[in-house]
This record gives sequence, C-alpha cells and structure tokens, in this order.
Amino acid sequence: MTTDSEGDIDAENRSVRFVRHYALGREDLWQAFTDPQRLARWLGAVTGDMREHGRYGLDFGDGETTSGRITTCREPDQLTATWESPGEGTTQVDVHRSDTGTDTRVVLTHASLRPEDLPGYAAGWHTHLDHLDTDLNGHRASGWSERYNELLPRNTSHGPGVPATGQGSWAKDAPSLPPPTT
Amino acid sequence: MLADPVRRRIVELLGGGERPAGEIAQALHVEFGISQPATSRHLRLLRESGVAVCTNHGAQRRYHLDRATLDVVATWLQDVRSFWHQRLDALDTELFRGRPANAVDELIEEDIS
Repeated sequence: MTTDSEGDIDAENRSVRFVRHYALGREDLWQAFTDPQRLARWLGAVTGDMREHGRYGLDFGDGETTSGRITTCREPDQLTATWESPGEGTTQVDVHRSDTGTDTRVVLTHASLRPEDLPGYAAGWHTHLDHLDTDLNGHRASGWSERYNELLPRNTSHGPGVPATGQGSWAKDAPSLPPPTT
Repeated sequence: MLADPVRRRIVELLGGGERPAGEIAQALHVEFGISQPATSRHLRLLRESGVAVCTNHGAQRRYHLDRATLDVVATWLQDVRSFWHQRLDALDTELFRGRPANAVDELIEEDIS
C-alpha cells in the first residue's frame, strides 16, 4: 500500500508534486480532472476547450482568470496544460493517472513555478486535492482559505498572521470609532 | 469573514483607496507568500459578503470597499460599545451601593476633602 504524498517541493525543478490514490475507475477519475462540472466542485470554474490544443480559462472567484492551453490530452491517462496566472508567468501542470492493480494512482505536478510561488502552490494544490476527496466522499467542500492557511508553511518568512514586511497590523490600523453615546 | 488575516489585510489595503486586483495580488504575495489563485478566492469572498466592490476598467479589475457595508459594521461596533458602557456604569453604581455604610461615608469624605 502506497501512502498519499502530502506534496513535495522540488526547488531545483521549481515544481510541486502530489501522489494520490483513489478507489475510482479510470473513467470516473478522468472525469473528475477534466469535466468542468466536476472541476467546479473542487478546483474552480472552467471555461473553454478542454481538448488537446484547446485554450481553457479557470476562475477561482474574482474573475482574474488563470488560463492556458491543453498541450497533451491522452484520455484517460494524461493531461498536460500550461498554466498562466496573472503576474506569475507561464507554468506547466501535468496530471498522470495509472492503475496500481488495487486502485488508481494520480501524480499531479506543477512545474516551472517561480521559486517564491512554490510554498503557495504546494498549499493550494493540497487544499484543492483535499476538496476533491471531500467531493468524492459525497460532501460539499468548504473552508478553502482556512485549510490553505493551515498548510502554508510557517517555517518560511511568510505565513498568514505574520506578514513578511510587517506592514499589516489590524489593531494598529483599525479605524478609530466615534465616542460612545452613553 | 474578517477573522482571516489575509482578508483583513486586503481591507486595510483598500482602506487607502481603490486598487487593481493585480496590485492586491502582488502585495499579498510579498507579505504572505500566497499565490494569485488564493488571492482570487479571498477577493471573491469579500465581494460576495459585500465588503468589497469590483469594477471593470477594460481588461483591469479594480476593487474598493463598500462604504455602506463599512457603515453597518461601524454602527454595530458603536452599539456594542454603547451597550457595554451602560452596563459597566450600572456595575459601578451597583458596587457603590453594595459597599458597607462606613465605606461609603469614607468615600464621601474623600470626595469632600
């Protein structure tokens, strides 16, 4: 029995990599990673053409759309696409599916990331894959940012609640309130 | 909604005026190390809860705080403060009344002297 990975950061290749195992048939699993209706439940709102060479858009909520091109689409085993988030350059996502004999193994790799983006994407994909698990268990995934905050490494200079630049201080910058009317 | 430090920071940033989504994402990336998609999710929550408003300027999306929502929050805080001021004043009165008679006399003498 292989253990699911919690996400490995490869600084040299500037990639994050996850290995997950699913008790799903190959078609069902392929749908979970390519069907816009399924993707909306654990990743984001997908538009466009999910076929090979097609261009897709992926909206995580505010309309600043991540986009890219499907570079490889070998149903039901491999999906590779470019991933272009505003301000982050062009990166590559690869989803590779295989049968282990007892279950289905998925290796998800997001490569060519900027070094400073590695911790954020590791936490982001981890959160999304957890949401996929929740969805596959028949529940509605929620609490994205809480889980993401938990997973974002605290051992870097970053981390929610500890702004790297120390500019943010809610208490310090809180607006002054009018005097009480007692 | 505002229990999240990243969303509080966005509100602080927008407190200085309207900002493009890209600028917010850049600031949060530097300060918190979060990715653009994560910022996108936070902005969505702030927009859906009525804290922030998004307007399109061509290809650029800009955010500002919703004054009406902020007024609701400020009024609520003021009401809460007012409530506790009244209760704490009542507590003062009660503690004063509850003193032994001689302690009250001493207090009055202190006030007079």
